[in-house]
This record gives sequence, structure tokens and C-alpha cells, in this order.
Amino acid sequence: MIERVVTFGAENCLTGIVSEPPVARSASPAVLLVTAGIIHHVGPYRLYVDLARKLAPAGFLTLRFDVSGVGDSQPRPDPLTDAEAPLADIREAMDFLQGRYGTCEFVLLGLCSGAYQAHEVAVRDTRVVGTVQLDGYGYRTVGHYLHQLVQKYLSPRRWTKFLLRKKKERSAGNWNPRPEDPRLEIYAEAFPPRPKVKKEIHGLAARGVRMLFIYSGGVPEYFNHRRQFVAMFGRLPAAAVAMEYFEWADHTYAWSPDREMLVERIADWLHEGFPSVMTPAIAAAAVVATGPV
Amino acid sequence: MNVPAFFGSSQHPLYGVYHPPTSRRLGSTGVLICGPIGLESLRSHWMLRRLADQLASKGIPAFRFDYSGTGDSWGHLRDASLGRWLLDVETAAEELLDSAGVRKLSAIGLRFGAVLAAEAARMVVPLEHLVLLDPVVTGRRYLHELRTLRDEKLARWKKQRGPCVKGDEEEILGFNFPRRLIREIEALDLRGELPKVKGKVALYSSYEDQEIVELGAQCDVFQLLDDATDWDRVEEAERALLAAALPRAAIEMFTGPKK
Repeated sequence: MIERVVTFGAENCLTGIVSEPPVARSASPAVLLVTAGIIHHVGPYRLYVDLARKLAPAGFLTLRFDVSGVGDSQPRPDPLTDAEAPLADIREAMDFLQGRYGTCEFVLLGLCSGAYQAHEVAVRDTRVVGTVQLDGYGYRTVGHYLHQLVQKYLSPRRWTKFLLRKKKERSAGNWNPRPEDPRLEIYAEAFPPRPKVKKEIHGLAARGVRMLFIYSGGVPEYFNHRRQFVAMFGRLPAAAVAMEYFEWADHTYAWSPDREMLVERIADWLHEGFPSVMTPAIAAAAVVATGPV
Repeated sequence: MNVPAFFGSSQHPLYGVYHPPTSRRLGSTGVLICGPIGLESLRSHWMLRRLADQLASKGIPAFRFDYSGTGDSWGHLRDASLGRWLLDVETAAEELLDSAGVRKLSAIGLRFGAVLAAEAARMVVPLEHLVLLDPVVTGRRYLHELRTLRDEKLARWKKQRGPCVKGDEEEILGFNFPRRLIREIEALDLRGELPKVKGKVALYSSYEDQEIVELGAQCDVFQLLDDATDWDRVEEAERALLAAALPRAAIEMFTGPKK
């Protein structure tokens, strides 16, 4: 495997690292790892480095890069909005790989805001043949509220913490209740309407885009049980869509066993969804090695 | 435009970013930026990029990089060692000298990067100035703080986790440190003997404790600053470091105070 630092995009404002496979897998899509928030291209706890160095030796050309203004990338020279800029960045990343390596199909992988961007670009660009969305869009359903109630009111551990906190507040003379987590309102407002996203996911499935959705236990404010996925987006063809709920993992996969499991799952999904096709060179080498059939 | 690149040997490539001056060059000194390790490195990436940009805007070439087994550099943390990282600092120093065409070097070290910059200066890299920002003073105390944060984070997470010590590695805030490296870190004490530099050794700290005060007494410049770092708060452990006073003080070390 060879890694190369690359700059590309408008006025070469974008920086990334391409991990080149030692042997090309014919007709395999390239994998783009989209940054999350303001974490730079190594990913949370070096997750994207681990992914790239797992996928490239397996034959997948992989690019991890910083969207404009984040990490080692410069701000864009054009006046795009904060919402439009990362989508343009991702498309320019695809343009770059297409121009440099001839790849014309892509799998976009993103965590959190990277997942939302992966979805949005997939909807707009038919070169995207797959997405891996880690803690992507989520919407509270009736089931979500019920699970929340059960977890909140039937958990001995939560009651213990609640009572200890109240005792501490009373001792300190503080009778104010803990304020509601402000992130809840941000999540409720930042996601597009559920019917729109549902329609888009179904449209992507109909277009033949393969999708892997992985939710962690770190976003209980909008996803908290496995069946919630179907409640949010309806039934989708199993050939197109896979879903995992890693309830024990936190949002950024802070613990290494969780990251290892995540990397393995993603690699397995890619191998299943985009099986290797031997190039003539590889086939010839195989004949030499094993003898003609 | 900044220049990101792999450098060093092709067997063990390191990732770094050279920030060329964007205004009239100020003097003939380049500044090597030695960042933290582990989770602190992710927190501080943005701040150090901004620091390098600001140095470059003042006419001072700057270089920041990832140590072996971290960031985009080759290898795994499990293969890292103090000796390896000191070699990396030396390699990065050579890269800056080549890239910038300067004859002299200074270094800014943040947290564990301060230890590496100081050790490298003592052993292999002659420096004009050495700036220590919130330095790790003793490895023992540093590891204790990281383990405390880790244990607090574990206690807050509602799911059961496995052991943090597995075989020859210990997981500390998401990173698997080899025991060999942990022993090396435990033995470190920056108060032992600061390197001799041609200019000044400056210490700027956002927190005050006995170790910092003792180290500060050995420096040419010692200043406590009010800044948003919160290294010991688990709520901040995954949040970007938005410190302003520390980088400003570091820059003024090279440019003089802002008029």
C-alpha cells in the first residue's frame, strides 16, 4: 500500500491522503472518508487512518480528506454557504479521484455531520454507489419515546444518580433543576424533515445505491433501539440497506475494541457489497501460481 | 499556501505541514511545533494549525507534524517509543531547515510536545528559543491525570466496558499505549535539567501548581495566563481546544509584544 498526500479542489484548497491499494480491484468503487465536525482527516481516535489502512490493502482506493476550512484544508475561494461548501468539497474529491485514477464510482463514509453530507451528496450525484453513515439522520418516534421512558424511569442506576444529584444540589442550596440539554433542540432543528429523507433513501435504494447505517449508543437523544430504523424510514430492500445498532459504543468509538469492531464491519460490508473482480493481470498471475485449469 | 507532505525515510514516513511565511520574512529562524499525544493531539489540532498560520503571517516559517504511530504518520502507537519520537523531532527539524532555507530553529511544545521539544533540544537539536505551553512536567503526574480522566469517562458511560490493561498495552482515553512507552513516560521529569538554548526558555501556563512553579523558576520567562484549556475536565476531553492567550504569548516570544 502506498499513501500520498494530495491537494485538490478549487485553488487546491483541499488536503487529503490517498491510500492506494497494492493491486487494483477492477470495478471497485473508491472510498471517501468524510470528516466529522471539526475533527481533521485522521478521524476520531484515528479511526479514518485505521479504516484507510484496512481497506486499501484489500483493494479499495481510499481518500481521507478535510472539508474546506477544517483540519489542513483552506477555506474555499468561492462564496458557498456553510451547508453548500462541504457538499462541493466532496464532489471535488470525487472529481479529483476520477481524474487522477479513473475511478467513477464512490462509496462515501461519514460520521455525524459527515454522514449527513454523505447522504446529501449521494442524492445529488449518481457516481455515488454506496454510503456508510455512522450516526446519520435520526428521528424520534413513538418507540423512541417509550424506550426513553423505560430507560429513564426503570433504571436503578439512573435513580441512584438522580437521587445523589438532588442530595448534592440541596446541600449546595441549589434548587434549580438541571437545564434541558440544548443539543436536543439543535438535533430537532438541524435534520431535514423525515418524509424528505425517507423518500430520498428509498430513491437511492431504487437507484441501486447500497447503504450501511450504523447507529451507536452515543446518540440516545434521537436513536435508542434497533427497530427504530424501520419506524423512521420504512422497510427497505435487504439487498440495498443494512443497519447496525452498536448500543454499547459511544458516538466517537472512543474505546479501541469498538473501533476494531466497527472497522471490521465496514470492511465486511464493502467486500460483500462490492465483491472483487479479477483483472487480467491478476488472473494471469494466478494461473502461473496454480497452473492452468 | 501551506505544504502538507510525507517526509523522512520512505520506510517510516512522517506527515507534516510546512507553513511558509506569507509576509516579509522576519529573521532567519524557523519554528518547529511539537504537539501533544493521544486525545490531546486531536483536541489541539486546530489551535496548532492556527498558531502555525499566525507565525507564517508574521514572516516566520513554521512546521508541525505527527509523531510515529500517531496522526497520519506511519506505524501504530504500540510500536512507539520515546527514542523513536525524539528521532522524529530531529527529522522534523531537518525538514524545516530544508523547506524554509533557514539556519536557525526555535521550538514551541504544547503539553507532551513540550517534553519532546525539550528532550530533543538537550540531545540533538540546537535551538534559539524554546517555548513550553502548558507543559507536562512529570510523566507520573501526567499519566495519573489521564487515567483519572479515563476512569471518570468510563464511570459516566452507562455500558460495561472490558479491562483497560490488556497484555502489554494499556488503553488510556482511546489510545493503546504499550507498557514500555508508559514506563518511559513515567520516568520523565522536565525539572531535571532544562536544555541550554541560545536565546530563552519560556514557560506559559494556563494552570498553576507546584510542579509548574518549580519548572517556571528554572525558565528565563514564566507567565501564568488565563486561558480556556481544561485539560483535566472530562467534559472537555473531546472538544476542540480554543485557547487564545497561550498561542498569543508564544507568537509574541518571536515578534515582541503587540503594540
